[in-house]
Amino acid sequence: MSIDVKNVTHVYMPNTPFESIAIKDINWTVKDGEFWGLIGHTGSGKSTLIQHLNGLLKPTSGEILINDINIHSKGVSLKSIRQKVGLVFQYPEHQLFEETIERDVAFGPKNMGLAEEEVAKRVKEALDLVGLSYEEVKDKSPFELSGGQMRRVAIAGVLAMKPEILILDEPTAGLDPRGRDEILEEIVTLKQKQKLTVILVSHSMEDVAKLVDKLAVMYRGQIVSQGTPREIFQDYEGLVEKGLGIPQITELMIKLKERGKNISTDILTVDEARAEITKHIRRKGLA
Amino acid sequence: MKIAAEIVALDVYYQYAASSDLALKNINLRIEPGEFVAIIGPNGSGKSTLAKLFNGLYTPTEGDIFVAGFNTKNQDDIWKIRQKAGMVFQNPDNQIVATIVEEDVAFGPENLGIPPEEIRQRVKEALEIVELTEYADKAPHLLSGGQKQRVAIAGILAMKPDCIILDEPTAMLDPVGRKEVISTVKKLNQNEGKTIVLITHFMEEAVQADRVLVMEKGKVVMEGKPNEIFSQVERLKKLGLDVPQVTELAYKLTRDSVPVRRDILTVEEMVDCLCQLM
Repeated sequence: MSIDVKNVTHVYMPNTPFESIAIKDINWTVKDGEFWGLIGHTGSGKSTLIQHLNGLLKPTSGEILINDINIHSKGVSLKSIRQKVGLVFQYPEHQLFEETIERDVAFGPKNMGLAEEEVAKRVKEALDLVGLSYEEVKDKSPFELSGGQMRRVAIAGVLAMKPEILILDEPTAGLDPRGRDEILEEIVTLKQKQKLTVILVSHSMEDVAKLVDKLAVMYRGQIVSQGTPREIFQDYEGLVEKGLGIPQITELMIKLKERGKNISTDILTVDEARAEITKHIRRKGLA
Repeated sequence: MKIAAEIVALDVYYQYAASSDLALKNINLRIEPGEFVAIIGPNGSGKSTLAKLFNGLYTPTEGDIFVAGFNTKNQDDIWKIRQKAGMVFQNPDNQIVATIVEEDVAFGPENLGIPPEEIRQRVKEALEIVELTEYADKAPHLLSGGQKQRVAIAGILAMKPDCIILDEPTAMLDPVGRKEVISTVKKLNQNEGKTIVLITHFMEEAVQADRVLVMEKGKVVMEGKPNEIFSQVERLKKLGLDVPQVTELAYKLTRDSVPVRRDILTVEEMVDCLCQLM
């Protein structure tokens, strides 16, 4: 499933003294099966933008096309759009509300009007996809779980609607390193298994460097650059000016280069850096 | 009983009313005046519970906590304790109470019943320290995440605490916001002499501390200088924690027989070390 954002501007509280332009003239194409990262300073418009992608917000001007169809044109059911484009908000565990995990995950598919057996089947599958055992957790209260597990239940609730596009707004904020790695691994697995198109909003340059195929950079309501992480992270100073940064390991390579070392800066992970530095040192016969 | 340290925990146990497990087990520690201590550990290991015991939001189920010599169990001293040990939390938006930055910073000292003239002075000083003087008359919602957290820190500073406890203050911030907050925290420690307790999941932040405490399942399981803690890469990974990318690189390079130090914590240290080899 593909998304086309065409000339989209969104103004909050237009024609009032509080009028503010949240996003301005956004053009962005996400093709079927792609894995995008969306980065930007706090308040840059990331959350406003992604809420347009499933019709929660309507552009003040411009169009959102899903599979080439304008989602705000006549005859398009926003309900079905929201089912196809699954949106996992920040701190989604704050939105859990049912008494049992089974009922919480079932909420979305039930609202879609699916038959009881189908709902039950989807709940099982969705919990399985996020690495939780249906039998173990189904009767538990969501509030008995750890932060990372609660977040998985919330993601399962979105997956149970079988979306084709999955958008996650900072899914690892506040999680410890292991919880963070587990959620990210599950997103990668899910993407492969379900052939999903994925958009990951993140403040972690290390995470997006490791995971995504393409990055869009937002700054003050606009997308100011798009490209592969390798391309985007070459512009260290430009990103810092925009409230962002680069992975620590990429910063290391850039600083070595600045000190006159003939070394590649096209490095996104610790293992890539290890290979490059070892190669360089072996050439010198030191190790 | 007077105890000469900023914070002392003696045989502390804590149990939440609704839970059958102990959230904290046999905690004994001292934090000295002017020290910068980072606490790391998996979610649910007891870090935040401990922080809330440090400023008397909770009192120990067993054992005692002393803040500047005051036992947190003594309800008569609770306001002195909260004034001595201020807390900054994760979400900047939940900590802002006023519609103008300087009013927000003044909220704490106003509640302490301090005369208006002195409050004005304190607000001015606090905003200078966090470098937000030019935002004094602005609305907080117009600020970036990092700036909002610095307003929250200024609000604590205006109460003139000796110690500031920060519970994941950068979890919701962008990379530059994170750096702003951490450099403010370091400045408070180095220039203002404040004792700092920083709880964080970001290892690049914890390496800035004088001492690191590692918690697991309600206990302090490791304690030492950052280079002593973070050079134990395998043990930290087993605990579900992490090390900075450059520290991990140092660990992996030594396995390739590249003679780098194992206790490298920052990009600058690694650059210096590699420049001698390359």
